[in-house]
Amino acid sequence: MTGKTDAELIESIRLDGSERAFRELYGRHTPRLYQLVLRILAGGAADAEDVVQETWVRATTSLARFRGDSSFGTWLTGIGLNRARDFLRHRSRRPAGFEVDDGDAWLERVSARVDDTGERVDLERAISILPDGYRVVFVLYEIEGFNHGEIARRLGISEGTSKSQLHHARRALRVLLEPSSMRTALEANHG
Amino acid sequence: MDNRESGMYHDADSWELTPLIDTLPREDEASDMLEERTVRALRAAGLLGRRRIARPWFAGAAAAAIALFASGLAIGQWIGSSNATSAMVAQHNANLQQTAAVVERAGNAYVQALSALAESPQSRGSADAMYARETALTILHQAANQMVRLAPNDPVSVNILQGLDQANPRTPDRRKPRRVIWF
Repeated sequence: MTGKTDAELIESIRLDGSERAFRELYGRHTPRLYQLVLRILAGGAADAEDVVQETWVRATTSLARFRGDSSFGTWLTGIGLNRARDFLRHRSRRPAGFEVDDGDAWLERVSARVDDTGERVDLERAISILPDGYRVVFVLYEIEGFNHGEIARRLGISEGTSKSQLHHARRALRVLLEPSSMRTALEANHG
Repeated sequence: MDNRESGMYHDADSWELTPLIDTLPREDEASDMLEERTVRALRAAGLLGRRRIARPWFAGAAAAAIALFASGLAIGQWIGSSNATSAMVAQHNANLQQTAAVVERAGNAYVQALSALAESPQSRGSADAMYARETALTILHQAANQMVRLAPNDPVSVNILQGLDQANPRTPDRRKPRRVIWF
């Protein structure tokens, strides 16, 4: 560790192509980026690593455009988020994934499967089985700390959609984590 | 960052999830191989290590360009300086001196040849003597012509040329218009 700031490391990479500076910057920001991508993809480590690598290549290519208006970590997270969403689109072969679909039907199917198998899921597992749209908004809002305005801008959706997705995500998580609450939740929703 | 907002979904979201969320890790370690393959990809794309290789070439090229520019500037300044002008005048003068020396050597040879011709016993009456005299007069006429061109107001040169034309009507260019331009 050289003790240099992110800005100094970025300058070394831009001007000198410094591998040492890159490795230090990589070491600082990859753990958080990797965890974020891993959660959003809800997939295996291999997929997450592919996305993280692509994120760094894209970020390094675009370093000249980084003006320091936000922190480097925030800027990198934005690139990683876009790469992860591209990955999800290709994986699901659907163009979006952020529309409010029939959440109740999905919730009933998943809850039934949990009841049948007797599987007890922790929060991490529950997040991973959320629909893509629910999961991305939930992760960004509840874990990464973005507000709905920021999420709407980053994902290209309305703030209303972001709030709605978060609501569905929380309700789904409640059912997944407390299967006995399934009937109460659905009845309240239909009532 | 406190992003919790009240709103239309507040009641539905009243289930307390925050303590669970706070237990989730924010970071995770990727494999060491990821760092290595990312670095390799960046090297392959020319984004890492590129300028360490390029810098000596760039620095050399820049130094050469600066040296070339400085040399050109120095030459320009030298040409523009009075010393350079003096040098050029000196070179011009040197050329004139060289030309004068050539004229002198040729004139000496001409006079020596005429002297030898005059001292020759066969210089009178023979066809060769007549040919030598004609040649000498032609050369003297051409020389006088060039002298008039060189110094149109020089009366000596003008009189020599006029005297030759009058004394020797068979001078080769006697019928031709005079090439002397009088001012």
